[in-house]
Amino acid sequence: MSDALAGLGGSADAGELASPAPLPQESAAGASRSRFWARLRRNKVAMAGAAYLVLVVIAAIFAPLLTSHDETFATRFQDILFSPGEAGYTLGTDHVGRDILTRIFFGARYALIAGAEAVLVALVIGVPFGLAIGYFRGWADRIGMRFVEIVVAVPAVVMAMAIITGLGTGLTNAMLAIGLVFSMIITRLVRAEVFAAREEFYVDGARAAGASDRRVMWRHILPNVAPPLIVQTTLLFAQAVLAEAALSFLGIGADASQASWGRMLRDAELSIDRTIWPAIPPGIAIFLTVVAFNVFGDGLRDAFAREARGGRVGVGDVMPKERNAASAPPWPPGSDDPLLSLRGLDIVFPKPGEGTDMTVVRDVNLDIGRGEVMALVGESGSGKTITGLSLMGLVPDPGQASAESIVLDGRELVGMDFSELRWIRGREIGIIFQEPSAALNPAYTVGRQVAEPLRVHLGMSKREARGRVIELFTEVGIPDPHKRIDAFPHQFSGGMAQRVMIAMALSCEPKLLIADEPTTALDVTVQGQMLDLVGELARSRGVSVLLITHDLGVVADLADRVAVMYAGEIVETGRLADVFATPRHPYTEGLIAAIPRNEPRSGDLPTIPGVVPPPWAWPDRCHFADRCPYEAVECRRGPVELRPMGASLTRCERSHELELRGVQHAAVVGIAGREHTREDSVPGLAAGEEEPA
Amino acid sequence: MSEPLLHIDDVTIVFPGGRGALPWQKLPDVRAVQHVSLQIEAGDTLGLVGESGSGKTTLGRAVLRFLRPESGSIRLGDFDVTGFGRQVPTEYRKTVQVVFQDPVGSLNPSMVVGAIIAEPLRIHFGMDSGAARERAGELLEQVGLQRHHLDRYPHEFSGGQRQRIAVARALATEPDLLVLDEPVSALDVSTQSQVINLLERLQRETGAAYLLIAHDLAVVRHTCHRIAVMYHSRIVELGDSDDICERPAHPYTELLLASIPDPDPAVQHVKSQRRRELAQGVAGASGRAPTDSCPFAERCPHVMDVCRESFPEPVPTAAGGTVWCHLHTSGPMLGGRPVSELTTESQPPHTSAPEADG
Repeated sequence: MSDALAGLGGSADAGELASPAPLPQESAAGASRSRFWARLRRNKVAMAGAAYLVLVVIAAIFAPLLTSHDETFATRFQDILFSPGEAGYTLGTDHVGRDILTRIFFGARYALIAGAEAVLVALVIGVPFGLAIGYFRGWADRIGMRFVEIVVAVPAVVMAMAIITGLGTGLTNAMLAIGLVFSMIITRLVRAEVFAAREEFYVDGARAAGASDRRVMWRHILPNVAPPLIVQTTLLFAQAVLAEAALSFLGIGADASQASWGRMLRDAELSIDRTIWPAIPPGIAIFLTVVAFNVFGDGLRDAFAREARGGRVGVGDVMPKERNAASAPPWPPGSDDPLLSLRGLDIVFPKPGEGTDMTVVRDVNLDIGRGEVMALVGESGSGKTITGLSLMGLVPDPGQASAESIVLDGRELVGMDFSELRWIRGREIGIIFQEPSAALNPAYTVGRQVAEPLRVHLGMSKREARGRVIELFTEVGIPDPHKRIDAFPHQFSGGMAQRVMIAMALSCEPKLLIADEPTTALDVTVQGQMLDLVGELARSRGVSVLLITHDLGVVADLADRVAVMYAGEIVETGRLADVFATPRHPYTEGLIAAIPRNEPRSGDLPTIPGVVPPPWAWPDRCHFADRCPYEAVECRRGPVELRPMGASLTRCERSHELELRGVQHAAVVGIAGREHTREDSVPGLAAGEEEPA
Repeated sequence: MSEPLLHIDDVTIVFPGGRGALPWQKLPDVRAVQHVSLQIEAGDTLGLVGESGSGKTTLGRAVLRFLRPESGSIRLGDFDVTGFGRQVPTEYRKTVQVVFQDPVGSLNPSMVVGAIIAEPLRIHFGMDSGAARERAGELLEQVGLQRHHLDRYPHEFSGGQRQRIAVARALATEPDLLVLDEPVSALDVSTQSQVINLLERLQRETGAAYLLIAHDLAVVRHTCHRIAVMYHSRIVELGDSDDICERPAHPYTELLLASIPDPDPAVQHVKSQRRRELAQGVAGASGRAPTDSCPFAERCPHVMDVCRESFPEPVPTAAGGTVWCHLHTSGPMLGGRPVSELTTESQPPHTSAPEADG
């Protein structure tokens, strides 16, 4: 799952959800390409458009073979006009006796050639121009964009007529003119996309690697702006077909010898006093072709957009699960009356590229006492974030969560439907995310956003809510709350934005606060203040906190109890002092050892070799064995249960025989340069160990 | 001491202020870096530490010549970096490489790993595609990945693996200097140390010098020989890693150190109290960096009047580094001794710190 679950925490990047992590064998790019086509194929309307366009292309290529009549052959008599079906003319003839069906087939040719000419001209001019002004910016951009604005301010057909006046009439000249106008649209699009792409680090990386400006533009930026460009090109094709018809109808496009659809309309006008029929087939042909291009373009856009976002982000409730008494592990509760009690949580996702499911969270039990800070720790890919989300019924689609029970303050959440859970969310459970700036809507003032849950959940009036928001801002330490309430999110620094998020999470006085990597995106000095604030709120308001993080330093600062997750399972849980002083699982030991501490070092930094394997590669035995330095034969026998060891619970076959190192294994150099050893700096610890767990 | 590889001398970097709400309003310029001087020896690692907005990344970008300082000079070996015109010599691009923080955005999503690593090889060594591919495979193995990864796309890798790919690409040109801009801050702790160990091994193998830009002083201490602490456009302290981290002479360095959470709950308990004592006012540099006062004055627990009147002159510290702080020349006249001497009234004075020699 690697970053997929972690990515969800920073709500902005829910992107990787549907494509959880490296695919096993085949190239994932190939897979993502095939997913793109699969999505496009599922879009019935777009496929209908595509099918029609294929017919148009066939008609254009094989026009002479599809009919026995000649494109331009006219009977000698000016006034012969056959009705449909008459004298072997399926769709009749026009006023000079030319077969309408034949001319429709040949018209497809002119429509496609005209469209291709215009789009080609537009791309040849627009792409380099857009790349250049977007890449170099500055005066080139200012002058270029003024020019573009002037050109697009004039209607395309009028502009085309002006250009044709200079170049002379004819289909190619007309489409050259249309292409020039369209190139401005392409320029504008490419420039905007380049602006965005230019900020990407890979562009700087390519420049640092020595790539020339031209290479950076064509090789690095262009492929990444291709999707919107392809969509726009398809839509412009439709515009070009329309423009060709319009110009030919006006008589400055296709000439009389060319059976263009627009020309057919012009010819039909000459006999309009006798019958309207000759205008109808070309009219329908133009209409259908333009619609087909548009729906196909929209379909491409949707397919690309999904590609970028990586799947639909929906939410699912937690389904009830049968209690399996045999597999239920012993579970000493943290307190007799926990605020939250979670039993037997499983979360499954469909395995990418296949129909089968894979388990990403397995049989998680969790108790959080009242006013207690419970830390859920583990590397990205361990399933900690999604476990937190499941408590709010926010498991992203297409994931499916099930649990034996989730009891919050005496109420069973399992089986509640979405609208019931909505009351629980925000009202009883508040949540803060890693990226505060991404979790706030930039379009609204922070005051309005914090007031929203107050008005929805507590039914406060605007005035009441505003007063309450000011109180909350004061409480979370936002200076000048009367003024800041009307500011927009971008006017806040990261730390201040996180305070706003905390104020929002606390606004309805929730009983449980889920803090998902609340300080990871903040500077260290701000991180300290944020930890103090959360700790202080937990103490003063009796709010329970579920702290989800990979940073054990943060855990040490704030938590009362800890649950360590690895590859979808809780591998160790217990009181903070116990787990950190005497870890019972090798993974916990590895995490503790890997923390960069302010102390002298020699040799390599301790690491846990390897990475968290993706969920489909989790074995049916100890998940950690492949990375574990203490791995032995018994670790490979079968699933390992969570069982008591010392004051904690651990999921390790060898915990009884291992002497694992905790946080005090080395002398710690204190901040003042004074040597702290376990004895002189940790008076509370010995007492802590004696307390009953 | 031999001639340093990288020589940054009195560099000031200014971003134009842009336009205000009305067309004739001009916003004041932003001084991102002010009067910074640094040196890096060949094969050495300098850590540049500071919060977001301190100017550390901007300085790194100036070394990469992505932007041009307002004044001062940057020299690297024989290159006069500040003297380059619009076109940066290809030879310089070969000499200096970069690894960015964001392991997602720093690799082109539309190119396979083999093409990403081969690009600098083809540009700088003129290799044909076969030779470039062969060398790219070697580089991948050197950073702990496998040859068959050449045909994968970046999104198929985990964050740590993507950073390894970025390192492989950077090393392809056999650079003398590698600018590492927060190379591990987006990674899990266990992966962080893997990447740091890798970077250290590669430094021993290739002899490249590193400019490591980071906000985590503990990580920097473990990776660097020397550390420069930056705050809001200025370098405030400079010295050997262990000295800075054990006997900080600047109050900001002390605050940074106190902010590193320790995993030992008991140690952290003491430490977080200390952090609260040190953290004054609202954390985080904001607004425009002042030109003629100490930028840390507003947050400093020891602020004096003089701090708001001028930016201090450099003072040599007892440990052999340099500090820019008025506490060392006026008020308590620390004269280069650790700032902890002012803040440890509640604790017995320690004896390990050497006395100031002047």
